[in-house]
Amino acid sequence: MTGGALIKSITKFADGPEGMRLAVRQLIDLGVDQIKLSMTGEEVTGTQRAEDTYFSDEEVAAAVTEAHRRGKRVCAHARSAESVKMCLRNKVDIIYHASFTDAEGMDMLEANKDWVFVAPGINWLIATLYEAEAFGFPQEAAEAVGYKKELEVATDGLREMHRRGIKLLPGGDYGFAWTPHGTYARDLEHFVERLGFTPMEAILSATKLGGEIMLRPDELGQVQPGYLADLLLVDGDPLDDITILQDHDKLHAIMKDGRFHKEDSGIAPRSGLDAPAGPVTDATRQVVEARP
Amino acid sequence: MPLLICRTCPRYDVDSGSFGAALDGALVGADVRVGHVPCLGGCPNAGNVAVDGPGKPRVRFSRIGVDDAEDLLDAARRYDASPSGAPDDWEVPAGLAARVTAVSPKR
Repeated sequence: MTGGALIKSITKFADGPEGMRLAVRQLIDLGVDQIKLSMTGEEVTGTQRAEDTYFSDEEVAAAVTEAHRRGKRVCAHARSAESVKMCLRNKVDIIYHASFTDAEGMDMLEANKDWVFVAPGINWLIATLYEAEAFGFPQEAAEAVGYKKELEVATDGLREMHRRGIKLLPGGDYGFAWTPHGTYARDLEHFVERLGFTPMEAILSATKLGGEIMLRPDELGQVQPGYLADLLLVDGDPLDDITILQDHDKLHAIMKDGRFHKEDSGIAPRSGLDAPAGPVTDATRQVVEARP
Repeated sequence: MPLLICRTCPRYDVDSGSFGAALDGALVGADVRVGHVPCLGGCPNAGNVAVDGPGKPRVRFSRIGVDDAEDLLDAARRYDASPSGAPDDWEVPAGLAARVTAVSPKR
């Protein structure tokens, strides 16, 4: 709605319940699979705060009612305490971030844990706070706009959500310069190190819950008869070291839908140069492949 | 996984990936565990390497070159031996101290 867009150029604006209803209808007419509500601010903007809530209950209710009536799900960028509760009151299917969930919201999440998914996008908070200086956003600036506070509050809240059995999934907000694509497995490390998951719980959040959030729990996300063959062959034990999944050299084979995306190769795991991002000289390849 | 090497540095150049390949050549026979990750998020300062370990902060070094190989191995050993991994608790090799560009705690 007016005044609430984080990035205006990729936002459709709508005000009031009827405006929301019309916007949802127009987007569904375009063929979207899901409706996303941009309900709160984002500290990096400097002006639209994460704890500000821009939607009214009536607007969320109208958007969700219309979307669900048409068989579409709704997700929301929802950092503030109020936005989380608003999502739950109005049956938003997927809540992103939920950074400032308060006690009431925590109870509401637990009461609705059979259907709601929460995906915190935790790496965004960590990388923006600690690792973005090279891109012009030093840690001092990130702390000044509130990211340290948000990370601390979010961490405590997510640990409590995990304890209460609320469905938490990794991923989200990769693709910014300091949260590069291809590094998604780092979320698994965050889930273990920061949020108190066991390595197996973190893997299940990405796989089994991944199948559930994609509405295909009977064919995605598990290694079981009848499931699609989405498989990784890993050199090492991620239950012993979850970070091993970040090292692409340790992913010997990658299979999707029963077809190899990356086939196991005797050379690849030793050299790590089977799929270099850039030119590799023959001399370098010989030296690296000679490594024991 | 004490030593992480970026596979895409220098990201913005035509020889993206050459940094990791060259550094690998300098680490032949190393007694330190080395991992290759797609990116360490320090792209404008190409040549990124990090030390990382369970319960310890990730410490990233940028503008690293092949000549820094010995210092990197030394850093990895000192980091591994440090109970906390925080840069204040272990001595970062002098040649790398000014090139620490991120310290990301786990809690």
